[in-house]
Amino acid sequence: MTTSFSRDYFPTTHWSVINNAGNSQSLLAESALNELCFRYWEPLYVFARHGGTAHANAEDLVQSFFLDFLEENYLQGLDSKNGRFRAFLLECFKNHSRNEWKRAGRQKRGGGADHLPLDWATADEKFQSLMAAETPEKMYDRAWAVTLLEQVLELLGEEMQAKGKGELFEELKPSLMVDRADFSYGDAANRLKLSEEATRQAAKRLREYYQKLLRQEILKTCDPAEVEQEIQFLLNAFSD
Amino acid sequence: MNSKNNTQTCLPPPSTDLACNSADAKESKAAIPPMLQVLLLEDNVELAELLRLMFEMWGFQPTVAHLGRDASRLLEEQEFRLALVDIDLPDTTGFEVVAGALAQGWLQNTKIIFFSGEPSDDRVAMARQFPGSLFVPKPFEMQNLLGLIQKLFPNEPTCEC
Repeated sequence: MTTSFSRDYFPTTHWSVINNAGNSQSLLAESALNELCFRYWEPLYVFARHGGTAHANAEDLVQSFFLDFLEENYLQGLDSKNGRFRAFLLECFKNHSRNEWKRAGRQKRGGGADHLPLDWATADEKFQSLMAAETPEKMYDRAWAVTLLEQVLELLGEEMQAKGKGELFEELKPSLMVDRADFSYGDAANRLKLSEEATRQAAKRLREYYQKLLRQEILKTCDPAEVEQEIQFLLNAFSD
Repeated sequence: MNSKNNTQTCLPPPSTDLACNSADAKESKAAIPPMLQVLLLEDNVELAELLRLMFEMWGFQPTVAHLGRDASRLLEEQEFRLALVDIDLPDTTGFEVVAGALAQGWLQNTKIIFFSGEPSDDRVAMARQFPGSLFVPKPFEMQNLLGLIQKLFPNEPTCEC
């Protein structure tokens, strides 16, 4: 497998870069899109599970999907009609699933091939913990939104770690998910050996950076003009 | 001075400029009045975070609470111009939070928008018992929500980030 999952470089908007690339695709954009797929595989697993696929079969489906996705040129002929990355990924997966069922009598692709390092246990926990939705598509959307937020938190942690502020991040991470509840700035300040005011300011900056990363992450999956629509979509994913 | 009926021009349209960052926001703070302080009371963490993002993009200053007791504490400690209150909460109801805060006199300058995924007639009637409050069923269109807020605060300037 030749695809790199480096996070060092991202075009501003992968999707629009790919859309604009036409037939002469940008390798950087393709690589970035592959990485996005790799980071957003869990919603596909949730989709398969909610659709009635057993745990092991869902694993095989997602596994074989990614092997196909990474080895074959799924981007061939891609244009703006394919819509948003999120929808594009799901459509690709549905097509793949249909093909897999057709060749169910043969050896499954995921069976004897190299395996990608995907955390199935965590994905299944996510499936179990998500509020049940009416359709697999709705579950996919909901899992997508949750995964997006988790990815942003992970990215933030990595960046803070790279800046030598891993301890600060770990201490203040709970404050990102709650503004007051169960979080004591005084206690955190003591552990960080900072004043409480300095700790509050650090938490405020961390939140601002989190929001910035969240906007950037959303931007990677849709055109800039569609960002508000995308947030609306994500909000709706939590409503039944 | 802006006309109260002219809600479309009082606030800028929601921004989708993702280049906006906190530094930009701080720079523009010096030139404009303080941003509208908004309390978002929503127990679903992910939903609350996305709402926060949307409100920040609109130029408001949101604070999130996931529990009724935290919202009560926040309402006691600071003044919000607007509170978006989910009715269904793990520890109480949004109605009880608002009723308690009203009784304490903490909501004198705060507009209330209740929202719920189960918009029964009883709930709408209950919301009407709080003078000036609004009720919005979930899921709501963010543009419609923004329109409501613009009507509530027709003269409110916001950050054009």
